[in-house]
Amino acid sequence: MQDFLRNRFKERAVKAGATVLEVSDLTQAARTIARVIGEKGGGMIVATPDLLNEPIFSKEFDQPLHPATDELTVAGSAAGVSPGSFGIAETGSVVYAANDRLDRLVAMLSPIHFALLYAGDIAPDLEVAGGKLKDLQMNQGKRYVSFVTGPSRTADIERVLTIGVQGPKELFIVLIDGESEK
Amino acid sequence: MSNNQPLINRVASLAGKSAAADHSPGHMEDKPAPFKQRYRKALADSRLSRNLLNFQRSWRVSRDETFAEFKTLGDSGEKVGRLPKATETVAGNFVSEAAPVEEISDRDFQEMRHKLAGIKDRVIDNQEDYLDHFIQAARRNGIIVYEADTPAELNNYVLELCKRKGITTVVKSKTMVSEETGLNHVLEAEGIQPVETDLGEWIAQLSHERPSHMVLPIIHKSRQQVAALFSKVTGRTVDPENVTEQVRVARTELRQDFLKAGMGVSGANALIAESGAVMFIENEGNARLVTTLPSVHVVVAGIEKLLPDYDAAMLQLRLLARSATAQPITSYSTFLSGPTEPGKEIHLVLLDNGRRKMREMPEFKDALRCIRCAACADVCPPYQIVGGHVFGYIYSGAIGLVNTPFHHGLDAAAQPQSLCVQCNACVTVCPVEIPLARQILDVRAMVVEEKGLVWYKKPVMWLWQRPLLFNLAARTAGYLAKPLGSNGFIQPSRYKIFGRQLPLPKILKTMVGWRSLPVPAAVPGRDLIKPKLTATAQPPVVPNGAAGKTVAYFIQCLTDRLYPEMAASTAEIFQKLGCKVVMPESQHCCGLPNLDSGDKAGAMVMAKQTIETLEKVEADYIVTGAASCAIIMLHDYQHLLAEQPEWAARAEKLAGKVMDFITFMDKVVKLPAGALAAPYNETVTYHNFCQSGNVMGLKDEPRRLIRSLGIDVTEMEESNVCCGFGGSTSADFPEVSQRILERKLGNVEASGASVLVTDNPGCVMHMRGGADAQGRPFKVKHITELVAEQLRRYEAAR
Ligand code: SF4
Ligand code: SF4
Repeated sequence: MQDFLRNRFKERAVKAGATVLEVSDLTQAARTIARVIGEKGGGMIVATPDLLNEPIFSKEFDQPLHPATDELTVAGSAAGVSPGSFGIAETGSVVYAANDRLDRLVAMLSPIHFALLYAGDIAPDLEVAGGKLKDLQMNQGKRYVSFVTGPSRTADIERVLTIGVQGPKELFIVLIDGESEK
Repeated sequence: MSNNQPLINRVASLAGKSAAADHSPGHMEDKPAPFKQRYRKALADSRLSRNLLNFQRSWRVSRDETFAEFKTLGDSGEKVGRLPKATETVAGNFVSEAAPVEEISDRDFQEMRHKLAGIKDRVIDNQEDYLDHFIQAARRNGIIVYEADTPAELNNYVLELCKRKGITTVVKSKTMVSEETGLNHVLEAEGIQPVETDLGEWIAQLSHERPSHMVLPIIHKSRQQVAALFSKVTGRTVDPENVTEQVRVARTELRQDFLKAGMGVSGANALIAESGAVMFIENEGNARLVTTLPSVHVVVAGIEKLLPDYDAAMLQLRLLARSATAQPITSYSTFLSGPTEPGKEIHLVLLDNGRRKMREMPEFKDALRCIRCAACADVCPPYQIVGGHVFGYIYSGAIGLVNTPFHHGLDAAAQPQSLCVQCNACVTVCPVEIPLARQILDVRAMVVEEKGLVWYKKPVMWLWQRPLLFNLAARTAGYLAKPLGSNGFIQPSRYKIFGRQLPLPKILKTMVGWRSLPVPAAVPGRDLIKPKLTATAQPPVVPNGAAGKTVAYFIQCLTDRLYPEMAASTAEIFQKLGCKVVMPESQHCCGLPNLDSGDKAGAMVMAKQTIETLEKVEADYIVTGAASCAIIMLHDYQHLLAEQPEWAARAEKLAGKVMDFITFMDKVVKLPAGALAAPYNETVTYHNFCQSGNVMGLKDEPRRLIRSLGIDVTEMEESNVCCGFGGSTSADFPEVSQRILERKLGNVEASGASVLVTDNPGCVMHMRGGADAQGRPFKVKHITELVAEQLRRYEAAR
């Protein structure tokens, strides 16, 4: 069942244009991100506070991770990292539920976005996702929830698919074994 | 114009010069340009129809695929926590090879859309309750809600808010409601700069046009046009071929506006009553920035966007993205239930503007289910020819023809609505089952009621309603027309005087130059049939399910007067199948031409005449060779006569006996494949008369029938796209009719077939005339002609 969801999720996310990186734990996740960014020429990485305060994670980077202090910092970064709340296998989406505006901007303005997701937190389909969404909004006070599926795109000019309009040009989903602790 | 000015000022200065700028058909003044002007512009723009044709073709294929793919995804859905029923889908074989894509996609689609339509109806029926609930919940979440009855109220609210807060730049994500109210104009007039941030909308704004499509606003433009525009606006040369670079220009330019704007204006795809949350979906990521960056956010939404709960929102997501952009889901689907940080303000303006009125009219209420996916435009043949600036008003496509009278007045809809050829393609893809084609006819009837029929239709309709006089006139016309015809056609361009082509007035060329007209018959079909009627049935040529039954033949006026031999051979088929044939004496016309022209009163007269005539007949089946007449009797009479319950009941009873020829052959006669096989050397392709396919769902039936004749069908592309006849449209907009016909004839020719077969005499007339005038290398036949021929060959070979 787990494998089924995980495979379906990967397949759908890739089809939507995301890249899925599978890792065993948070340390591996950090190393993988550092490697990918290194390969792309490095640069400033912004991250949300929960990741900044996670020593296992932040110590893996050569340059310290940056907090998202304002929109210009985020827009000027090389990449942003933020944790997703859960995934949806049917669509390959990562769900974000950060209330803090700057945290949200990490997923909106950084040119490359890394979404951390625990493989155990994948909902099978939109019906189940709808239930979780309802709980997030009605019981947990999450007021801005987005299903993010692949990078930003447009086909407005002659229907030519072009990736990276206002949102990130690349979306990496870092799929970590196990479940988040909540 | 200086190029180091902020972009938005450059937009403003361009706007100032708009009068001199290049006017496109959707030019953005206070109101769209007059219809005639928009129509002429669109016809002159060959790129427009080419772009739209490519778009419609590829949309159709990918849309069908995304629905087909859902099948296996749906399986995974059911497997949640309830173990998988089967594991074979794990392999990720998204499209089963066993069944055709179209079929699978359709089954799930039908189920889903029926469900969403039901949910929407529940909300519409209890609108005020849901609205109250939603508003209270939204207010509890800290959203400031304002209800606007009119566009002016909405615009003023936003304007006052800007003034109060000293806001001078407003970034906007896509909202059709603000197009509906003309918000940008109102803001600009007060020195406030609205900036559209959706790429297509931005391009439309920069070129002072309105979106021509609800989902793809600049589908009518080419990359070269976009590059020229961007070069002009940025002062840098933009590569005319490189779309990626063009998108980058937008990203760079718009970033600045995002960062300095004081207000974001967004639309909504749904308003979720249970929580007071707003749902919006997008691909570019601009809406998330519009709703996050500025400290004031205004949502503008029509009250029809209400949904009861998250479950319904999820269902809408599944249908909307597939129908709009043929994606399983868009890149971003966002649910916003209130301000997230101190200092953030969210306002929600709910617009009525005719929606409550629509709700009170039973004919139009269903249109409030609309989720603005634009699928109805993506399959619409006349839309492909003229585009959204003409086919609609602010809202385009079929829904635009229906809701424009309510949002912008009947005048605004009067001319666009008559572009609809009633093919019903829109109805088959609408994800909320709106009976769009029927509603367009209801709009047409309102237009006719208010403005009267077009002058040239008046005498025709007058005569039409008087069977005796009509009979006389038609016979006289037949005698008079005889010397004009050649090979059964009238084609004025062939007339010669002293060896030279007759100079034809332009209007005649536009009307008939591209399509030869049939010569009216001096002796109608009924006169040919009458002498052959027998008191008892003959033995059938082949055993079949109809042998021994009595068939009443409803000839249909066109067949009767223009193709009498077709009528005679249809009667011959019934007789050879062993049926007793009766011919209802005073039969005239079912009323379709009236209904189709918006002459509802006339249509009612004709419907009643027809019901009275056919009620008297003693027969097992009433069969017509004209699919369109069967459809009006089966599907429209009851709606037409709804206000006279006694007549509606009689119509319902009649419907129990009426059948079109194909259905009769398929369900009653039931010939097995090859039953009438006889040598036949032509290659046959089949045109699904659009209503047969879209209303009656006949797709396999005609093909089965042709196979029973021992003939294979060579399929053409787009076999169920309309031929452009559309009755009233070919008289009102002959250019549109002609171009749709060309799409069809081109597809037929590309199939390599030498015979084109279909089941509606109107289509036969249209396509036969077109093939003749254009010298196309194939013949056009009605299905009854093919069956009759093959029966004769079969008998001869025995
Ligand atoms: S019925 Fe056909 S022509 Fe009319 S709006 Fe629908 S798709 Fe267009
Ligand atoms: S009428 Fe139906 S098909 Fe047309 S936009 Fe609305 S929901 Fe879509």
